Amino acid sequence: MREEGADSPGFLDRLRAGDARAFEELVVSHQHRVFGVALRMLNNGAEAEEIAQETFLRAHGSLAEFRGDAKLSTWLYAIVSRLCLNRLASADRRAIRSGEEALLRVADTGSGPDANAERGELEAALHRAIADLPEERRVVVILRDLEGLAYEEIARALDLELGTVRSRLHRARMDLKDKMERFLP
Amino acid sequence: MTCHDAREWLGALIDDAIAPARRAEVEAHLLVCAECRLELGGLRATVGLLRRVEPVRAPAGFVDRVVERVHPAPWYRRVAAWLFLPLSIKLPAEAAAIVAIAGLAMLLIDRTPELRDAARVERPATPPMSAAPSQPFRTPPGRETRDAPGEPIVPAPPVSRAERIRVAPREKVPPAPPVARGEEARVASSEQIAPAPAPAAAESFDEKRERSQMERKLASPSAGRVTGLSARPADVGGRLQVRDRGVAVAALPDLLSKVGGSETARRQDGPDVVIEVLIPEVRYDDFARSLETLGVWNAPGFRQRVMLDSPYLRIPIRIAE
Repeated sequence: MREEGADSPGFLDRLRAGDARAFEELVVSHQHRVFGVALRMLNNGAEAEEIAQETFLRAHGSLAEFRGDAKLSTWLYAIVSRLCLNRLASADRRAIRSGEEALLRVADTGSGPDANAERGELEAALHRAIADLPEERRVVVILRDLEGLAYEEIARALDLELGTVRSRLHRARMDLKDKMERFLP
Repeated sequence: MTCHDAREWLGALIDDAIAPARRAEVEAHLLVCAECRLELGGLRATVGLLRRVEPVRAPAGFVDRVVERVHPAPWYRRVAAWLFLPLSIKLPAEAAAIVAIAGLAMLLIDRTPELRDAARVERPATPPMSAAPSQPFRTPPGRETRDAPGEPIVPAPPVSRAERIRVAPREKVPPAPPVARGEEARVASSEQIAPAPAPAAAESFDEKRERSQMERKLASPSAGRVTGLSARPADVGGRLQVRDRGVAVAALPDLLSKVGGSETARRQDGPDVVIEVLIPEVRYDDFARSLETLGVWNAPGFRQRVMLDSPYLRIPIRIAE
């Protein structure tokens, strides 16, 4: 489903009316992006799926309150980002090292034997560098450079000032540049 | 504009998220600052790396799981799906499992004499009556020592059916070997005496002791005083053809007391009366002869003995006119 279709008034009306088929279309069209944010934030596949499911459940429960000021995708990014940050901030969450393996598997996907070996190494290093970022910088760089949100959308999703978004993004990129130096031209 | 100020805006410059006036300032600084230009190049390359990262895909079935949580299917559909879906995998697997379990059960029954005998006893007891005992009465090896004079068998006095129903076995019966509580209850409740379990190779000490106690209990004539027909497999079964059934039934307790036996159960089966008795194995010939004084005693022969260490035979006698 294209973004325009997802945010069309007719579609929103169907969602608000509790149309099960419309909700399923919403999940189908946004599942990968929502899951991707959760996976990159949490570095654990099982937790990421849990959070992604919770995101859609929360969205389903709050559809009546969605006014349509922002795009549906921005709204979903906001929910998943907050859920991830809350999960990361929760006292009982352990740092799960196996999560890195999940991301490394993602990095290896599609890699061929020779030509892509270097690319696989590069992506693994990149995922590791992203995972090492402080959470508030990580979420900004994920939303901007991996998911392609505009600064204003990030600010709205995370309820931040535009300057704060720009500043955190700049610092995140500088961190990544230092860690990825050997891969840079 | 200082280098510090300019670098704060390099990211926004790359993203084209900068106001025109600010862009002009930053670009003017970059024209004169080689280090900031180098920094900008590094940032551009880093952002280029990030934007080439492969997108992540949600796991298979994610949509179904979300929709299921939002709109749960009725329980019967979930159960049916859990049992049968996907049909192509679960149905053949379940059919194969059923066949395997059935085969295993058949094999187990076939290889376990106790289970096989129990299955036979479940059927209505109408043994063939024509043939005479085909084998002489044999005492299993080692039985002589148990039946030696030093260990007299105390027969229980004849007890009427009404008394048997009224009196619990533990109140009137001479001391019997201690038995497990569950076993005792099973005997007392009558009609539910299970066949002896198969002596498994890996039987534990407790299981052996319990089985031994149960067998002693069953072997004791007093313990066998129950109100219904025992489910234990009969050792000898026969038909006593008499002229007057009432006379034969009345005379039977006397015959039993002479051979040290006792009646354990009685029931009416159509016109016939079936009386189950326990008698010492060594007195079977005497008992069979005494039955001949009442009528014609037809016993088809001995069955395979289940409890070889029991000195008693369990005999259902069908008294018919």
